[in-house]
Amino acid sequence: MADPQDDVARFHAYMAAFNRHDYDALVDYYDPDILLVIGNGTQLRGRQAIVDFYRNVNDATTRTIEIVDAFSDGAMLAAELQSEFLALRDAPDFTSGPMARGDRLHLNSFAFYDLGRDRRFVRIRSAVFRREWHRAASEQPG
Amino acid sequence: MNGPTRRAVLAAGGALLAVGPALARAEERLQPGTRPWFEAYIAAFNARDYPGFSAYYAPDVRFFGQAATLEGAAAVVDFYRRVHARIDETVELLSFISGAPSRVAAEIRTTLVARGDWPDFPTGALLRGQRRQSINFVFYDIAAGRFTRVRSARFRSIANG
Repeated sequence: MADPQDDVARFHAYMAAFNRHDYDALVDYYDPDILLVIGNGTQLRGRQAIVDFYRNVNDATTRTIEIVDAFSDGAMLAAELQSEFLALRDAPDFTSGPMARGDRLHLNSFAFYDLGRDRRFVRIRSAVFRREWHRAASEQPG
Repeated sequence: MNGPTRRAVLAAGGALLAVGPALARAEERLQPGTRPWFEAYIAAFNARDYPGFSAYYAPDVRFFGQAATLEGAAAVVDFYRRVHARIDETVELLSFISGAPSRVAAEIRTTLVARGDWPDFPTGALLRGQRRQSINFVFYDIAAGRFTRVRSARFRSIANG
């Protein structure tokens, strides 16, 4: 079995690629038949579907993910993630709810990554623990 | 003085070898953050063994469940005693990831069956006989062998599941 610490180091590299929108690098972390299930029930199958989804999300918003904690037992990796979405333009169809330009959404979420024999992610599932909106309109000086 | 015979030493060694794995398993069961340790917690919960499962909570545990946010082991136990008086609740461990000794994560399926109407149940009204399932991702912080923080995030709700 692989060293769980290697899984965690690899996970940090994966998130760094995510934060710099390096989609070519991201693909290499995914099994070709990967399944992604996010908290709102959205399911995506395959590398390209996931990358397309993230490209679309990042078109209207920027998302930055901080790893609060991550640990692996060699078969699965658990992570607590803190994400910030910033709306670059109005995004009425944003997955977590409509966003106006300048709005921020902070998500604290728990994610499980099933690891394949080659250490690629076979399945990713996440659930939101805390959700906090910061509306640009309400934060402008009056 | 007569020392142990060679036969006695070999017999004793064989006995130790036989007992060894059992001892190892028993010791693992006692190691906080391991799967057997956590499974014993789940079993105690499902058996309504309140002293047994509350022994996993630090006295000042912070508990962020789906139906309540609580502080203190006594508050958690009181909450579950109230819930279990009106609802049959069982939990099932679907996935477990050990970050022993300081934290673990679990995927847990919870099944609720209402024994009577509970219109203001925190996660939604329940009617007598109604069954509801959910799958939650739960993170547990551990210190000195006890949970100091329990946080549950809803992954999926299964109405009438």
